[in-house]
Amino acid sequence: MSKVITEAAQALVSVEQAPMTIEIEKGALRKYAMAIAWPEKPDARYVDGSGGVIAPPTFCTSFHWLAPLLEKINPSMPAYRVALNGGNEYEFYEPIRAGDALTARPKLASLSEKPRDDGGVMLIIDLEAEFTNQTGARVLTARQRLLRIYGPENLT
Amino acid sequence: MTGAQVYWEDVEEGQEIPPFSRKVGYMELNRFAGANDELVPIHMDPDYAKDVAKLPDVIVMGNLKLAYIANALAAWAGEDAWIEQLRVDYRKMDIVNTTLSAKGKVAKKYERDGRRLVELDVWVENDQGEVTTPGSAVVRLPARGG
Repeated sequence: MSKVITEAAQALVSVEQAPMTIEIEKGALRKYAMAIAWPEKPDARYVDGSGGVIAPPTFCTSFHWLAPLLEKINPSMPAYRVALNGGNEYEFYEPIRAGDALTARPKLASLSEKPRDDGGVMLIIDLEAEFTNQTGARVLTARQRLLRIYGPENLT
Repeated sequence: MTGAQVYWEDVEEGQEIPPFSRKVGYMELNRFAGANDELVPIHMDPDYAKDVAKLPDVIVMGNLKLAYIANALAAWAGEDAWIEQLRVDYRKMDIVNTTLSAKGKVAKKYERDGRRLVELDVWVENDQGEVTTPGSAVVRLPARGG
């Protein structure tokens, strides 16, 4: 019997959510490229490319496509001690460029839980999204695993 | 910084790519938090990390470790390469002020649908040599002569 997964949350599994638009800004690409290279200078392709500025591959971690889905899941779920990033998986099809407008189609892929030694539970939330650009070309598939740790104090 | 272009013919299974290493202090964490819009207390506030989240200290974002792996791949493979797939699991937390090294090793070299591909085992290890973040990547490389 599940300790934290509610029927309301389970009902969201495999349901594709409303698409969301993500605009790719040159300044955001530059800031991200600088942060991941710090304290060295960023790769020139990401800040001043002759063919237009392209996104570093992992810039997609800033897209926040998870938030609307989590806002739907969260209300029916109990409070947890801490949330952790369990893992990421990406497939990159085409460059993402400054000025692009991407459409994300997110969905909750699965929910599961595992018992912890302290009597708590680890909730595993698997989410995924497909991204296309303004021409309809597929640019990215993203998969995210979130872990929510419930201690005994959260399950009383 | 990207090195010389690597060509598919020149890659050998088993070879390791140059690592990308950083000592990840609060400057690195805060810059990344702002750039990735990831302003989360467990990555910024030691009191919250220890007292509320019951962690040893502020921990490094998984997304930053992922970026370091991509940096290692991009620097090795060259500008004409393309990272097709990247996957990581965050198995162990990395604490602030640890030196992390993103590394990779060629596992397989193959062609598929006209693309020349290299599959690599990738990972981040801490300054104790522990692998905290294992993963895999597939990189498309150009052929010599185009």
